[in-house]
Amino acid sequence: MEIPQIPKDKFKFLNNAGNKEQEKIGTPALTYMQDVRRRLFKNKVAVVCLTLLTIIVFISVFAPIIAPYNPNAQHATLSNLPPKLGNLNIPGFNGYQNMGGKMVDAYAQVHAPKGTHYLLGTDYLGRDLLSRIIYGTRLSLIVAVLATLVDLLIGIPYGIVSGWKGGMTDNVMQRIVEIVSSVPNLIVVILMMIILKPGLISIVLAIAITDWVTMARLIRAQTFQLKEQEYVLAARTLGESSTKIATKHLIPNLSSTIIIQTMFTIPNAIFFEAFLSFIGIGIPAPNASLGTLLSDGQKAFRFLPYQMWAPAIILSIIMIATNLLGDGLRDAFDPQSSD
Amino acid sequence: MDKILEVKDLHVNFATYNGTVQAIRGVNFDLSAGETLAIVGESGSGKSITVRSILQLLAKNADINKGTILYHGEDLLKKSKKEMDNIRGNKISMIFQDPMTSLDPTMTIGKQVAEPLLIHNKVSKKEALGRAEEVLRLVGIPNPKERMNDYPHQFSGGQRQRIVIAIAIVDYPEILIADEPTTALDVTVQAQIIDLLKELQQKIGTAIIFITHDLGVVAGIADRVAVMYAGKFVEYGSVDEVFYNPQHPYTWGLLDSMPTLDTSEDDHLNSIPGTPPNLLDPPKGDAFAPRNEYAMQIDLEEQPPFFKISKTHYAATWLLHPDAPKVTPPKGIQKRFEKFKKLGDSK
Amino acid sequence: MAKYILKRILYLFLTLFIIASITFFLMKMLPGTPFSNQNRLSPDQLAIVKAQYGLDQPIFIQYIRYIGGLFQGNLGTSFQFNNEPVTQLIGQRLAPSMQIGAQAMVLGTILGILLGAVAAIRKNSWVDTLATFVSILGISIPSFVLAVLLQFYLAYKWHIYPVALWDNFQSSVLPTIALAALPLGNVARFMRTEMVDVLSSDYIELAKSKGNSEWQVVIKHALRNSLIPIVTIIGPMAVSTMTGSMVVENIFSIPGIGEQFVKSITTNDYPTIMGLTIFYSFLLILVFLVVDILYVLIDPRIRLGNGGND
Ligand SMILES: Nc1ncnc2c1ncn2[C@@H]1O[C@H](COP(=O)(O)OP(=O)(O)OP(=O)(O)O)[C@@H](O)[C@H]1O
Ligand SMILES: [Mg+2]
Repeated sequence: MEIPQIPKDKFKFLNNAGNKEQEKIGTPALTYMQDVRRRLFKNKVAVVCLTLLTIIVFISVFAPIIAPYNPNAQHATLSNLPPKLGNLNIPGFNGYQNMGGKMVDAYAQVHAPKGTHYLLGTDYLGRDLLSRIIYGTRLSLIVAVLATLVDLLIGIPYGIVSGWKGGMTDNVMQRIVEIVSSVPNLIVVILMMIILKPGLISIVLAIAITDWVTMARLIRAQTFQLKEQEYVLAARTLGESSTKIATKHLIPNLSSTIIIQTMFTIPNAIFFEAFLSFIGIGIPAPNASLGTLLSDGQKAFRFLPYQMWAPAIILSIIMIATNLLGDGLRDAFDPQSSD
Repeated sequence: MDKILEVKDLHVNFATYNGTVQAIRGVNFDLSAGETLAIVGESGSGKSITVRSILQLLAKNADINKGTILYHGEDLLKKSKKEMDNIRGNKISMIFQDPMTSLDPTMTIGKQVAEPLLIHNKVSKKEALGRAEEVLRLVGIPNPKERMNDYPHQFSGGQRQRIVIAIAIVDYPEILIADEPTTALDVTVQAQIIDLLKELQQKIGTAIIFITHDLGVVAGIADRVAVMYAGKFVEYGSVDEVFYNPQHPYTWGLLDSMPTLDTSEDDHLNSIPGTPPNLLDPPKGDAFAPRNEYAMQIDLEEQPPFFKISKTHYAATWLLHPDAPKVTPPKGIQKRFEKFKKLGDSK
Repeated sequence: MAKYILKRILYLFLTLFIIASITFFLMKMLPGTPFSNQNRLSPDQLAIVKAQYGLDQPIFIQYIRYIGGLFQGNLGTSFQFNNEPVTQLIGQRLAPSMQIGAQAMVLGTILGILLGAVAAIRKNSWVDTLATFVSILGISIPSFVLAVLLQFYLAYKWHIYPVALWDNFQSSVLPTIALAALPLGNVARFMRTEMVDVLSSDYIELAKSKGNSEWQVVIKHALRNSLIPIVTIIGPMAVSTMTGSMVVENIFSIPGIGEQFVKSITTNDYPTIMGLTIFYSFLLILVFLVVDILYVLIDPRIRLGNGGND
């Protein structure tokens, strides 16, 4: 073998003996949450969903400002008008309607005042569909958020107590969970809806009363693990109060579970609201929710399909976006689960 | 001896989120019929990737971007999928690291052991099962006939590893790759498994590539040893040469961190300080330099070539350059040198 | 094993009893009479009708009677529907519900398994993306929205299937598709996760190292191992199919128990609601029981291990 010629001075020792502790080379250490955020924002699908949901939430929050009309104001003469986008002549959005095989300007027929245009048309009572959808989305989101909150308020403490106490308490609490979860969700929800007065609060309660079980189960399982972690044990030995341990050590470590589960509770709640309203025991008239709009739309669907399309699309978008965002969050919190 | 396997200038990269991991950076070795080659090195040094490249059992993000793997003179890297399937489990087979998870939990072990025969030899199912039973007895599973219909979870860890070995040898492979076959087991079982492998090697004449990071195991089983660091071999030679005449400071470190019968109470075991380099961006010079007590300026600038120590013994360190200053190795290593002298004298 | 099943059956009846009791008292707590719809009845007539249904008795007696009746398989008498016994109502309407429910679950499961498996095998390829997209749609779009869309396009506009009719297999196609979407999405997602997990497991590596081709590995080892856990989602799948069937039957005017249930809700037909509630619960708890037993039977780890006898 040929031995390379190397200048003599290159054989000087570097005196590595002293620095036994080597600096770790690698990507700068990010905190866990920063890392989660970075991974989430790297996920294009999740970002798109987050943006869509943000827009929808924004519109819902500012519904009174954004909605062009009062959603419940009826105009008997202006009923079932097709969508019209200003004076633009876009097929499907020009106020024309197929009547007996001919396209007719529906707005002219009912002698709508000049300049009247409904972006998404009107329903059978002459109410502006766009405004109803904006308000309906708002109501559906309120139901979902409230139901999720109640769900968290019951599920988290229940799970923590059950997991933390263990033993007999846990046993009893778990039996209760088993019974509650062995009755089909929908049956409980429907029974609750029959007993309670129809309305927002009833729906929220009906949904939350079955949904908390899943959350409680997950939290319990995690608490069981966390309980044995060193820092929690240390806090216990140091005599920190249970509440303090729960808020300082448990909740932060449970946050990923909570956030991810929440992303699955929300679409579930939205679905149940729509379902109940669709079969007629949900949000009472005249208020709109995505469910009631769908139900109304379905009745007129054959002749006026646009009345069904709009709420169906919005509902589907919300469901898809929350589900996908949930997936994205899970991957972000737990990188092993993806790739 | 004829070389049945020759790996030349093997390079393996992994595409990851953070960039390209250069896991294997030019590995060369060969294997002769019936011999045992041990590959040792720290966790992450690339031992598994090296041997998995031979069977092309690498993750999807892996890319063997350079090199040849000659098996009886034919490049395995150029073989089609189907040709590779014919080699795996037939000519070359592999024992995996973790016996607890290496067996299909929903298939009886009889079927699992017989499977390679059915895939390759086109023997009847009955014959295959008969042979499976025989091999299970050979690896020391008691009552193999009855236990053929049991599932993996009904066996202990040591027994499962024996079953995994049975699967690997049932087709009498020419090369057996054992990737840390004993790490997950307790010491007594480890010893039994090693003895079993040696016994089997004598019976069926298989060449073995044995991977471990436990040098203690190596002396008992290997003919030759290769020391691996950061995706490269840094030293290789016969067992005696590497154990008693080591030349690379990394080998010194490894040997120094290994308890031996000769280690007296007051000789404390040294572990090598620091961590291996980031293979996303490997250093320009010798990868071991930052952890090397004897590092020189040249180590930072240029990778050392292999210097020949004997016909069978090579090491890649600039310390072997004729112009390099002489160094005194750690005390434990000096003792080894003495022993090596005695070995030489006695021969 | 026998002991375990016996225990589970006992537990089933206990749960049913609790559900029945709770439903009964909830129904009794309701304000107004069940006849509020027929407000033309005079107080006298009302009293007669009440006596006829035994509603003039003290609550406790009514409760004993009701539970007693349950043990004889008597779920009470409907207020509407010509005073038919609820059991008879269910009997007449069970077949269509079972048919579309079973069809949907089988179709959804099979397609879901295929979709999930292919997605896992071709992970991160366009097939995977497509499969993920389809399953997300299946999970996200409520069955009633899908049902209405299918009805409008495939039945009303293009006349491929009947709009709302129940006679032959043809008429069960659209409701089946509407109901199959959710199980399809769920199974596909579940299957993909399981299969990705299995495919990256050590025993698959070992199977490859034996010389199995990619497809042999999938068929001989990966499929069975990923399929076993699928059993665990059959229970929840039955629940969601039941939920969906209520509206889907309604939309397609299928004379099933789901349609019946919704009708009884909107007409305050309490005995029918109670009867169906108990019936549904029975059905679902039974499904969960069967699934658990099935799981024990097909998973060798549980079958021969220590599980199953506690
Ligand atoms: N799929 C992969 N993607 C990216 N990097 C990988 C992948 N597989 C292995 N590596 C990297 O390749 C290097 C070598 O890994 P390898 O498994 O060969 O180590 P090893 O020497 O067998 O270690 P051990 O003793 O722990 O088994 C490691 O740095 C590892 O991080
Ligand atoms: Mg390894």
